Amino acid sequence: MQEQYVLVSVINSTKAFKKVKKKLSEIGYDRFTAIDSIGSTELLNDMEFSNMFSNSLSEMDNNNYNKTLLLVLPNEEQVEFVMDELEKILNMDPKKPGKGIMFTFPIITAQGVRFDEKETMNKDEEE
Amino acid sequence: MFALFIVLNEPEFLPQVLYKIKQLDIRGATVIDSMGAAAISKDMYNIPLIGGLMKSIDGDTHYNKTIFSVIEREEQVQKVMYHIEKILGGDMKRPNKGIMFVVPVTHMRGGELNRHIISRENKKFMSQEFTNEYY
Repeated sequence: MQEQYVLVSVINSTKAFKKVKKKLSEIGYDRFTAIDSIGSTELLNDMEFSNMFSNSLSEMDNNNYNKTLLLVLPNEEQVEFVMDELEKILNMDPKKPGKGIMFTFPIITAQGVRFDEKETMNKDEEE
Repeated sequence: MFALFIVLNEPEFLPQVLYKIKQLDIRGATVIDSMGAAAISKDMYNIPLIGGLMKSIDGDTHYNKTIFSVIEREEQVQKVMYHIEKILGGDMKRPNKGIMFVVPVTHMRGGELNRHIISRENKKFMSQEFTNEYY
């Protein structure tokens, strides 16, 4: 059985998330899960801020939330491909972190995951 | 490389846990609001009107926090897990404390850890070149 992977991608800006969504649907991955998340540094800063002033002040500013995306990928080639595409879209520079982070881990089995039929068909034809 | 997932059933420990992670030189973590299955399936919440009211009265108490972070080496993972368990009272086997688990990371891009690894590799490479030239 071929090893599948889960891609976890934390995207720091909502605007970039929209671009990522568009790109993913273009490359045939329009089914994924998105969660609202927050970075630990932001949260710690926020907590210090709310200790100093009132709690409501920090709650007014919700811009520090980011999006976490979960996507199941069928093989390692697709992992590399999707990561490359996302890296391009997010303008990720290893020297300048802050745009986001993505990582994958292997999963043994997945049910209810549908991969784009076109891709699998193309692969069959190539073989 | 590993990804550590921590589900904290007592969100009041969140600042301490995050501070400890920072202290242990782990570069960044992400926090998600989550909810235990037991809290969701509380029968009272399913009663129309009253359930909703009870839910709002209970407020955020049934929420817990899920933290995940990418960590480079296994000994770092062990260290972080040990310290977090200590913060949470020393024994996570007791119910309602939370859970922690680790998954192996196969690919990673972006983030402060990636920058740190690349700059370290560069430094190593430069020092190697320097010694080669010297000898």
